[in-house]
Amino acid sequence: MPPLPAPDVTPPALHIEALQVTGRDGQVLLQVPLLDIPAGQSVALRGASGAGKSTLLHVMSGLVRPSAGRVVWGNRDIVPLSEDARAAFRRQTLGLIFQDCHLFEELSAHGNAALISTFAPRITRASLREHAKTWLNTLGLRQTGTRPVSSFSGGERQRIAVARALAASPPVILADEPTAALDRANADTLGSDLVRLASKGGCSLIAVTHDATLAALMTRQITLADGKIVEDSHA
Amino acid sequence: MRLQLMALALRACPALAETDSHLAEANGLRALHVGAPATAKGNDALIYLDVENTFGTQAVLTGCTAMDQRFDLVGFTYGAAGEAWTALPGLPVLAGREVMLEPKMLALRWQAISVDLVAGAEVKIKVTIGTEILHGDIKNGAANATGQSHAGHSH
Amino acid sequence: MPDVWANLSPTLQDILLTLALLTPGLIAGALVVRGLHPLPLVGAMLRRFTWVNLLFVALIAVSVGVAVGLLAQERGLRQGSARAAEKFDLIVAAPGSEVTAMLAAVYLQPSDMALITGAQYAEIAGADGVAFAAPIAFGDSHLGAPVVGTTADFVTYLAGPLAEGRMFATAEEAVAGAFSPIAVGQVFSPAHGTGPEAEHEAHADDGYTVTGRMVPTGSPWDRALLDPVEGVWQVHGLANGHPPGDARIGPPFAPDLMPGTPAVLVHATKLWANYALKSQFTRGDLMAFFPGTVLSRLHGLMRDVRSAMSLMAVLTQGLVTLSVLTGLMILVRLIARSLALLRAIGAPLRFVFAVVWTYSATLIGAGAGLGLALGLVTARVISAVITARTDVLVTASLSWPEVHLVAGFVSLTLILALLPGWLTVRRPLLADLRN
Repeated sequence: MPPLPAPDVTPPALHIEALQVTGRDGQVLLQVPLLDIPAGQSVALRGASGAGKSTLLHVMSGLVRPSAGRVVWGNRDIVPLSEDARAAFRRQTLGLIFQDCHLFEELSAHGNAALISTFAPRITRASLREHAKTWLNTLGLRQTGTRPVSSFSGGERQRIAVARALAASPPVILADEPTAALDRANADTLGSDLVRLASKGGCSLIAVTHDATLAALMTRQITLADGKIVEDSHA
Repeated sequence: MRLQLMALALRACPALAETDSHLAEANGLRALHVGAPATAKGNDALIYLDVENTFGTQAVLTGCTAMDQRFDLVGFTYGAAGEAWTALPGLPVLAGREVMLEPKMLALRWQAISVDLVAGAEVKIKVTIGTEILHGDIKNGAANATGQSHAGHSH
Repeated sequence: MPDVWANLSPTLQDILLTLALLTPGLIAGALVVRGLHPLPLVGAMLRRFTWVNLLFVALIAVSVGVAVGLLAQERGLRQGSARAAEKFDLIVAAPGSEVTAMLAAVYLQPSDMALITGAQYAEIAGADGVAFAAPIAFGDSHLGAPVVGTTADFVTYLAGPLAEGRMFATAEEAVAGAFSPIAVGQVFSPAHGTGPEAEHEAHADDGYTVTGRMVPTGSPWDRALLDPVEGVWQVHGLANGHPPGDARIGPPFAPDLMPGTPAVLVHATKLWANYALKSQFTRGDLMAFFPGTVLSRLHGLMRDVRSAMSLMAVLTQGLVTLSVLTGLMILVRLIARSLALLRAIGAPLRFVFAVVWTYSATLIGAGAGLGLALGLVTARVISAVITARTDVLVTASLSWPEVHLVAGFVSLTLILALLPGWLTVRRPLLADLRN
């Protein structure tokens, strides 16, 4: 089997400081005075619904701009960046996995996995498409590249989404409830594959999850409640 | 039959005394209701007029000159290719008869005119027949004029 | 600059004008998609809402087709009717309506008209510059086809050498138009009058033998039956223009033995002579006119009507454009989640903009192209109907005015299509992602 594509860069460490996210009505949704995640660490963000887990993940990915604070990846604070600059950051650094797969039903499995190639520079498109195919094979979707995604099961669709997130060999993987929509068996398989692949590739993995089995596979668990970190297994 | 060549010379010049503002006459030949639609400089202008021959012999209208330019006598044709004006060598005007140069029929064509013909304005003309000089006007009508403003009344 | 433009050939001018009209839209598109590869996702979007997309394309196609068809069909009718009248240099008739006389003598739509007398005809035929003067004596019919009395000179002048058979040689013979309802060799009896009121038995004792068939002329004469004018006079129990015992046909006619004719076609030896003859025979007892001039004035009226209808077509296209834009903005909301995903995984805003614009441009381009074809088909169908009803050969084809219209429409809508893209990249990313 050919070697897995590895990230071209060392994963950046994450430093969050004086973070505050406020809702439209002025209510404080998230407040994190300090949080450091070293490079290459796998972290589970846990807590009840509405605790602020997904909000924290969105702030980490630059999808949401906090009302105050700093979010520094490596030595780069992404808070003041423009939307296009944050998109470029995500493109170069992050692989995002969503609870709902968000697949393009009209594209094939390979087309979805290689989605990032559609807006990549021409010179990298071919290699990204190859990487996507490799990841599909690695995730057990061998010889299925041209099938329409509507023909896949829930577990397979989420694997396609994982392959999409890994196609560009990102140094950091952010996952929002990656196993929530799966049955137990699929969730266990996908979860262990995800953690294993991230570890093998030297990637940082931060996952919001209610799945205790998945959380147990991660090296660090951070629990949130009412928008604050109430427990940190590495504190 | 003695043919008399009638040439109309048109020249913009200060107003001169004339007996009728739209009639030029000499030796039994009359050019009246001389008019043209308003035309911008550089375009072709079509001059319309009535020519009456009260003389005893046939006359031939061949065209005219003005400002060192020759005006062709042109005839209108219409077919599948659209409208066209074709130069004619001349048009006989029988004794005691008149010929009307009117839109979509006959005209004198002033190609690539050197001055603007402005609606409502009049351009003084000198009509030369042999050695006779007649004074008259080109009366400029609206740009979309399809008929002579004085058509139908007699002098 | 005006001199440079004026010195270019009309075709080159039209090409340059087309490019000039298209340029703003194309430049906008080039700037939007420069260096990007949005087509795979545009294809996905087109497949996602197939029926909605087809509806949009159809809407654009119909609006473009109406405008294109209007222009093409009007030009076809104008050219066809002008072509049918080209051979009719100068018509002389009794004083009355020039339009009525033209419709009767040129387009064989007969009306009651006073007759030109034998003496008047002799004067016309004998005038200086006249090559021939052909009576056109209409009024009878056979199986709906006009039966027209005239001369052999007219038949040859109108249609050239016969396609079949020979020219009529006696007053009891006739030549058929290319598509008239009777074959060479057959005998027919004309009905008195035309249309449903025609009296079919009025001339049952008289008959014409068809001796030849003309080539098509693209005019109502293709359905007509042409016989010597003497035959028409004889069938109606009148003198035949010649002394008794003189069996020849064709002019000259004895003025006091010529019953008269509603119209005379005058063909001059030279072009200039037409105008002189027109002046000569415009007087109290005769009316001379150029069918081309009369037709040109009628077409001028048509142009005014066409201008009004064109304005309505343009307004319709404007409304359709606004509808399409509104629809695109609604469609963009339907795919907002997919576009938000693209932004979430790092697609540049310009890429998302390009996807939306290219999607819109694809619908616009497909609709415009289909509309061009639809307009041509519509114009051809209408032209075929007009041809069948009037016997005037009307052919519709696409020409530069239609191309310019479509180019302008496409360019304008390509620029307006920037708006949905701009609105897309301003949408809240997370809200669309969660939707």
